[in-house]
Amino acid sequence: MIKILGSVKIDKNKYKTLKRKFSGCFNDLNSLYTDLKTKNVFKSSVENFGRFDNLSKICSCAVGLALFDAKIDYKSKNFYREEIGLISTNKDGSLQANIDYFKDYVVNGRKLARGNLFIYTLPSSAIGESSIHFGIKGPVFYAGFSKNNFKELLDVAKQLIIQNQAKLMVVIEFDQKSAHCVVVRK
Amino acid sequence: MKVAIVDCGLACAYGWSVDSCWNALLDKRSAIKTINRFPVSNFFSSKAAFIEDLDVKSHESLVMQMLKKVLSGKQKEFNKKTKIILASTLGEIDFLEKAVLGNKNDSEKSSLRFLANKVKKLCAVEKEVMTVSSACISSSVALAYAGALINDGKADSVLVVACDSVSEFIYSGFSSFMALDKVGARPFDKNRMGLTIGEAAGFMLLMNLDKAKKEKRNILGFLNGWGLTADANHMTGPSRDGSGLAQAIKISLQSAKLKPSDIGSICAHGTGTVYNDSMEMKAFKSVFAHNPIATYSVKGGTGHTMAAAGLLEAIISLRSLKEQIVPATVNLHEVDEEAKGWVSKEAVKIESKYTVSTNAGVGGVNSALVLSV
Repeated sequence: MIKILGSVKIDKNKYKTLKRKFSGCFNDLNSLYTDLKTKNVFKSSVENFGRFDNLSKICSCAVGLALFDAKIDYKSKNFYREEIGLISTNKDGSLQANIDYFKDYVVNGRKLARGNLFIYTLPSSAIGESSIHFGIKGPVFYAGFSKNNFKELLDVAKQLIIQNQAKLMVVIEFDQKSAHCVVVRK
Repeated sequence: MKVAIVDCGLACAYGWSVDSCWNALLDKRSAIKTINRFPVSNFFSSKAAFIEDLDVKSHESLVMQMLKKVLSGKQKEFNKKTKIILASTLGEIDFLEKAVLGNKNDSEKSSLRFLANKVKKLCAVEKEVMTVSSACISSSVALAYAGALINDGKADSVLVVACDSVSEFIYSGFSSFMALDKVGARPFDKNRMGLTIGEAAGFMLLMNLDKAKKEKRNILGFLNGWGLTADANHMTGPSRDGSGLAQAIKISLQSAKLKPSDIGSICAHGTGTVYNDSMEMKAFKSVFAHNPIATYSVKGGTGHTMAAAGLLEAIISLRSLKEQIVPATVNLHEVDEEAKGWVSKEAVKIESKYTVSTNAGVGGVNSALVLSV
């Protein structure tokens, strides 16, 4: 059995957390980020947020809200970074970022590739960015499934906790416009 | 439950078998050569470790061409209920390249879920295939999770399949990072300048030991422990002090119920970049208390095979333990000061049952696997 410490759903330009019933609306991911900063969901600015692709932006916001809902202060000395991991799932990995990167490269004559676009061409890039900001040092990886993605991912999180790879896991399913993120422990 | 390794297969730039890879490493031959697959004049390097036999014009992706051959005839080894975990970073990315270059709208075909379905059909299994992606530690994560499932009794056999190919997509990206060595990767070399992209596909069948014995399987070795961590430092640069990787190694040893002194060799990630190789040596020294352990990297020969690296190196690690030889680090000419006493230009005999295989990847992710024979 695993226990949910905090949870958030983001959809249709709205967010709502489970435990603290924290909710709000937003116009776009940049305004969501600004809003969450003023509400102290983000304890500090997320470096390079403006350059993130949309998946990385929504991932950061969702992870921040889930940790907030779980009353976990990720800047606190009591936040044991090595004991928390972050795993994600979605339908198509980083497909849109892959298309954007390669189109940009082709448009530039196949001579100059842009590193700041290439960095997001991995299914795990978005959670990589979140692990950096939130200081998450446990297992970090993307897993894909043919169906029941979120339930399957929770099973993965449970296994990682059972195997002592982490004490807490942040589990997120997301796409460019919606996210479901939970913080769980045994 | 003990996790036994009962079968494996590999294709890489050295050839279509584990033997071809192992023998080439022992001969200190490199498979790195000048790319003829796409124009390279605008890139930082012109070198890669690729499989000549692959047909870039085929309707089949490069990874499927590799997988079909590697898994050919193997379906009888796995039963229909075997769980499969597929590890890849970019999968059939050549489909996306062709879609963009041809102005078509079917880039979606490159998505990993389509590849997962093809692997399911290729292996003739009933269960849906799980995909795992975590940059260059992808197949190590897959192996670790497979081990976890068997160890916990959730599965009695798991097939890990891994693949990535040399594509213009990935090559252009790493070139933009200035991360490529012009002359070919030189892991742990004093003058190393970067990595070389490689390609590979392979599989490893892991099984509950009791089941393996019952089925009279040939046991190649064991996956004893695993550790997965992240640096939380930088997307493209590892933590300079190696603490994240050191933590992964410590967790893997705890998982295997072993002490650092039980380990007789290390198959390092050893990409040939200035920072990775330095970081790894710091991590090894911190865990193994500065007592040198025979350490090697295969990437001067095979190139950096991305998601397939962990699996390829686990396979070579087992072979190394079986033969009780650590191969020379191919393309190493002058050992860096930090690696002296650990990494060698020559093969080294060992007397050890256990080895650690490490990997690190974009996003600051780290993995360590403990293997034995």
